[in-house]
This record gives sequence, C-alpha cells and structure tokens, in this order.
Amino acid sequence: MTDKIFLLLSAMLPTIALLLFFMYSDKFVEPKKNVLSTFILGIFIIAPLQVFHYTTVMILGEPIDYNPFFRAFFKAAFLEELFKFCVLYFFCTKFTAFNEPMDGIVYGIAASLGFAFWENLEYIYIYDEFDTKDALITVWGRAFTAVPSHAFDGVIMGFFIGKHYFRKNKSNINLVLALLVPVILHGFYDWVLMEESINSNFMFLFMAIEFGLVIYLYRSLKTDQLQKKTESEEKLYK
Amino acid sequence: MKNYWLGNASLAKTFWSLVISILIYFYVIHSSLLHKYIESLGFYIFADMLGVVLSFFILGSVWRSANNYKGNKIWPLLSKISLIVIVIYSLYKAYFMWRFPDLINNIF
Repeated sequence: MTDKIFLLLSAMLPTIALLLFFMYSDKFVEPKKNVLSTFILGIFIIAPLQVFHYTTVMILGEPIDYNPFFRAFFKAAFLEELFKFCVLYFFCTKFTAFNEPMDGIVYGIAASLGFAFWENLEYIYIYDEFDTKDALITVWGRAFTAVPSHAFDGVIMGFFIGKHYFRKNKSNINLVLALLVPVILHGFYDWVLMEESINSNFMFLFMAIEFGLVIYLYRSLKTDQLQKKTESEEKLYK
Repeated sequence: MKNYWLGNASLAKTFWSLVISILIYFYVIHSSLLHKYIESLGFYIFADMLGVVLSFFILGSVWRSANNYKGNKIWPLLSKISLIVIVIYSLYKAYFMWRFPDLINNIF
C-alpha cells in the first residue's frame, strides 16, 4: 500500500514541480485559477484523443495498425499537439490576464503538463497491473524524459502563440510554427523510441535540442519582460 | 519561497539556508534515517525525485541571487560551481537508477 501511495505521488511530483517553477518565474504571475483550469483542460485532451481512436475503430472495424513513423508523428505528436494548441488558442487567449507574450509560455506549460500528468497516471495504471516495481521505474524514467519533453513542447508552442497574439503585422506564420515546431520535435523524440532499428538514446539529442530552444526563447521573452517592468517602474516614479 | 526563487534574498542567506538544507535532506534524513525505517521502493523513488526537484529549486534560487550579488566576484562564482556539482550529482543518480534498475531491485 505504501508503495502505491508513493507511486501516485511520484507520478504527480514532476508535473507539479515544473508547473510551479515556470509559473513563479514569470515576473507578472498569472492568476492561479487560470493556470489550474488550463492544467485541467490539458488533462481532458485525452477525451478527444479517445474519441478519435474509437471513431476510427468504429469505421474500420479494428484499431489502425500504424507503422512507427506514422504512430510517432501523427498519432502521438500531431494529435496531442493539435489539441494542446486548441486549448491555448481557443481558451487561454481569451483570458483577460493573457496580456503579454510570456503568458503564452505559462499557459502552454500548464496545458502540456496537464496532459503529461494524465499520461503518467495511465502508465502507472498499465504497469502496476503487472508489477509495482516496473511502474515505479517507469515513472522515475518519465520524470526526466517524457514529462520535461512535454513541458518543452508547451513552452515552444506558447512562445509562438504569444508572438502571434501580440503581433504587429497580420502574418499567421507564428501560428503555423506554434503547431509545426512542437510536432516535429515531439515526433522525432517518439520516433527514435518506437523505431527498433534506431538507438533510443537519440531521444536525448532531441531533448537537448528542445532544451536549447526553450532556453533561447524563454530568455528572449524574459529580457523583454524585465525591460517592460523597468519602464513601468520608471513611469510610476516620474 | 517566491523571494528565494526569484533571487531576491541575499546570496549568503540563500546559499547557506538552501544548500545546507538539501545536504541535510540527502545525507541525513533520506539516506540514513528514513531509509532505515521505511522499507518501500515507492518511498525511495519519491524521496530521490523530491531531492532532484529541490536541487533544481536551489540551483535557480542561488543562480539568480548570485547574478544580483554586488561585491567580490569570487562568491557568486563559487556558489554557482558548488550548485552545478549538486545538480550533476542528483541527475547522475537519477540516470543511474533509470538505466540500471536492477541495482534498485537489489536494495530491497
């Protein structure tokens, strides 16, 4: 019983820690209610994914037999990122508190981690049926690979959505990049894991690329935000 | 907590309070005391995961505080180096546990 309690806590801890890290790194912290509702909507991304799965089974009479490439890029990356994109674009951008590009990152992370949270619970449910030790080791591994990777994809998507929403020109290029870049990175990450002929350690390469990109995008927004804060403080004291 | 995370507390206060607390957590509470009394792999994994989360929290806090430090440059540099060592150690431990799970099984 103790193992099962800690198994559940271990599945929850990385998602909550990452969410808090990013949420409180924002100079203008977003309302908790908004972040929580985005996180919960991120969990519910599983619903349209399941609807898609069962609809294809109903139409074809059996589950689609995806090859690893198609499974990685379409079933995992494209569908998951598409629904995260919908949460951000149709829900989060409507918040009154969504008032600067950095907010895109915070809500992008919240939606992604909501989904990662649910995926973790799904994995422990599957593995725990066979062996609690296997489930614990899986959760441990996912805490350092899949969960941060989902968070990185959320940062990248949120960055481009923020850029699009506060754009000065009418181009939709950032909207396209918001979906395309996370799908490509997520797709490659999953593909090297699913394709038996590729060394699975290559996933660390894609994680490193994601991480580098996240640092770069995050720092560029952070610099803008600090500048904005200094300007508003200067106005206040003038 | 938020003040620490944003690096608003002084470097000395941040470094000593957080680094000492993580060292106490890893080497006294987790490794020696709790491990003896709670025989659960679940607890062991959770406690290590919490250690990694805490070490990242400390890394962020000390790093930002060091960036804000105005004084002799040696102190921010030393505090950053020691923090990198702590985080690399906790990640190494994490990777080791993930890649060689049989070693965990042998513990219990």
